[in-house]
Amino acid sequence: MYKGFIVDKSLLDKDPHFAEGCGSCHKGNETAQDKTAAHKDLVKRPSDDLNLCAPCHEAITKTYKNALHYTAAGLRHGVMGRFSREELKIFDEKVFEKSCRSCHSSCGECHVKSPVIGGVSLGLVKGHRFVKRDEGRTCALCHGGRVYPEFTGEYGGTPDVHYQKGMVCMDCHKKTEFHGDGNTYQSRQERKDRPACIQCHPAGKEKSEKAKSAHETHKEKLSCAGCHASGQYRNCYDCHLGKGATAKPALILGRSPRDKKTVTTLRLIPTVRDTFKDVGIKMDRYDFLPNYWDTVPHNIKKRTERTRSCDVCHVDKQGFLTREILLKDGSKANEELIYEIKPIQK
Amino acid sequence: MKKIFFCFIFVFLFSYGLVSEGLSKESTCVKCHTDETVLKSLFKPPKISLEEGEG
Repeated sequence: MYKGFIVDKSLLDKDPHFAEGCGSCHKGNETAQDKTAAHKDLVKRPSDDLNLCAPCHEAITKTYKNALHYTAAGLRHGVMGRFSREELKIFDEKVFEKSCRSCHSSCGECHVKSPVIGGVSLGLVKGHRFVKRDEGRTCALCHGGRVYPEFTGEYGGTPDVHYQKGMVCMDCHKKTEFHGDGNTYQSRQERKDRPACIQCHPAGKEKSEKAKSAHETHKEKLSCAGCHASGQYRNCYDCHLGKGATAKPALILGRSPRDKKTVTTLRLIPTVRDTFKDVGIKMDRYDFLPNYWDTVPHNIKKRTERTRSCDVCHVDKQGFLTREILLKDGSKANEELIYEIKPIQK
Repeated sequence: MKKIFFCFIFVFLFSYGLVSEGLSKESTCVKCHTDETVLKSLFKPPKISLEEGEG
């Protein structure tokens, strides 16, 4: 792991970021002769302060300070619907700033050094070079709990077809999604520039009549992932502050909590009734929000069990959320997501 | 006059030596962080906590 801290010496004369010396960003003591003295008052993540990068990257830092990757507002937004006003105050003070926001990304965590997850980091991305992108050493760390291993097939299923074709994160997720556009958002659902399948796969271009017919029949009733998620994906259970969660694979189909007219793949999120018990939050409004949320599993394939035969859904009802498999002691709102699929009328 | 001249030369050479010494002295950041052997000798494995990524 020490190799992750080796700086490429050839950069020192070539790269303008090094013109003012290491101490200009990292502080510490450049003349000290031992590690402890040299690292006194060291700033490990200097770009946490966006003003550091602002002199040369003014436009980006201006938008980034409101971007979701920096504010982590989406994490707060996702859970706050379960809190009373008083509980939200406690959450903001004792949980969000101390725990959730530690996940916010500084500039350096995407462009210089892999983020630290559970005490482990891959270190400098490329010898302290300031890279534009290296998804396998940046995105993959923070998003390595769910979507990245689904995408690469490491989670146990087949890799996503986009990965097989050589695409990685930023081939769909454009940089304005990260750097922001100057607006303040509470969640990624509000962003208009999120990837959508139809951007590259518009209707009417299908190669077979079967596909055309299936798309026409399910238009605005079923999400793309509803048919094209290739298999099970990670669902997280039973999260408690400071103790993490457990995970199990499943493929779950049901009504989208954001649009109950559409059936989609659902992913269980791990907030349980006593998740925040240790800071005195009982979640007075726990039942206002479901435990299952619409998700696009990153294990997409053109041909899946559900594209092969309509019976997989309309007869066998495989994967559909039912009362029997609902989370025990889960939110009452979960029942609204159950979709009673009917046989095809011939 | 000669004395002043030689004093000037001496001060100039002395200052030049000091500045050169300062300029050529490599920062210890660079000395350690560009040398794999040094870093290996200083490295202490971190404590690993059980957490998962957000997404």
